[in-house]
Amino acid sequence: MANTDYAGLSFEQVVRKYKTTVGKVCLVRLKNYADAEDCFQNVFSALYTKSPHFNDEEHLKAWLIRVAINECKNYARNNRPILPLKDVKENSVDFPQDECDISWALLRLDIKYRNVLYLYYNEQYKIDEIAEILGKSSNTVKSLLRRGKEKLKSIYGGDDV
Amino acid sequence: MNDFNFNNINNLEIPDSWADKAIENAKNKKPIPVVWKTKTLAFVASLVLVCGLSVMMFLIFGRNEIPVAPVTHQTDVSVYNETSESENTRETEKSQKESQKPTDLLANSDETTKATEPTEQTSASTVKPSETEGIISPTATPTKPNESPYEPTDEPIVDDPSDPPVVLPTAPPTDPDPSEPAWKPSEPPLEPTEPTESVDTSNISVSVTIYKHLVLDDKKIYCKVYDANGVLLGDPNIYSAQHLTELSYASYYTAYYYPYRHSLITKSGNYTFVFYNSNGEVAREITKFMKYYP
Repeated sequence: MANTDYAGLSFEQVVRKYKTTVGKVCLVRLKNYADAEDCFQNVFSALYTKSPHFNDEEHLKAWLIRVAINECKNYARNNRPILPLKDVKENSVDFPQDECDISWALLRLDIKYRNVLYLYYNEQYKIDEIAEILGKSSNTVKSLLRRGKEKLKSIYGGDDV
Repeated sequence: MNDFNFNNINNLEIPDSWADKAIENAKNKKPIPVVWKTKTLAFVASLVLVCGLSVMMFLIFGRNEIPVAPVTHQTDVSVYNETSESENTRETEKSQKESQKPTDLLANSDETTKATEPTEQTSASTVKPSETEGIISPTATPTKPNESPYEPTDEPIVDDPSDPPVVLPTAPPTDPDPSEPAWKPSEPPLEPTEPTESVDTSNISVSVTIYKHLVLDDKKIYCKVYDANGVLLGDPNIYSAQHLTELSYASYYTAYYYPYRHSLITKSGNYTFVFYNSNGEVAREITKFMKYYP
């Protein structure tokens, strides 16, 4: 087992503490449990093998999210779904259309808006922090956030994008 | 931040099996050893160091211009103007050039040892100057005027009994005299004294090397002499026999001119020697101090 050098936490502690965060990022990104699990495993495998140094837990969390997004991007690029349609549907993440809860609408957004909105609303990150995680400028994140909101409103408002 | 309701996403449950599997997989994996990272860092650091050193070496040594001393062609080929003004001007310049020459050895004909100096070039005449350019070579030993011309031998030169006594050190000095310099530069005196011995001046020559392309098919090189005032000495016909030089060729052409044979040197001073071919193209031009021998 690796040393307890992940911002003062052991590897197991990190996995237990941040499995939800990493898992949700993968699910929102890939909208598929099977694919999300693969990426989930890859993220913590990278953490274990590379053993980077973290200043604090926020730094660690940001690192995990960034790696999760990149893993999902690579996974989506390199892996085409080969499961039968039925299995895809069973593994897919979807939410019922609800006027109050618009999680379903979020999943219908383009991935670039989805990431920003998820990190902003679900993970409660600030724009600068989102920019650092995604490797974009603050102005770009602001722009994506603004357009994402508009598209989200247009989706759950009944207009399909 | 709470404009939208994403409770379904917030309430997503991640199975514990995912975490267990991740922990289990980690046990089977080996973390990247620190040594490997260190090696990578060392490799990168060495690359950076080599590149940096290369750049520094280039900046230090590569950009330094090797100082090249200005080439001073003292015998530049130039078209000579026979006007007096230009002669004086040019003569002044040549005097300055000549004064910069490192060798100005033969101003004193009292140095009899020069007659036995080894020659560096071959020539058709019996006289062999010690240096190639513009050197006056008093190869004759101090002898009486009616004696035969000097022929180089290996025997040491014996002073004439009629010569004034020469002070020679009888014993090597143990301690050098601090009042006297260890080396006395031989500079031409401004007002040289009249030599007490007679010198065979007929073999005193002024020699210069001539570029091949300036030696025409007639193989004739002439020399005209100007005094310090820029006055042409001798025959005004600059292509007469009086101005003809002796030309020899080894690996290069050497022209010898004997000014004393034509009685051109009437007083000690600076004289300008202009060597030219049959077309009037100036091959060499030098200014030398010539001593007068009565």
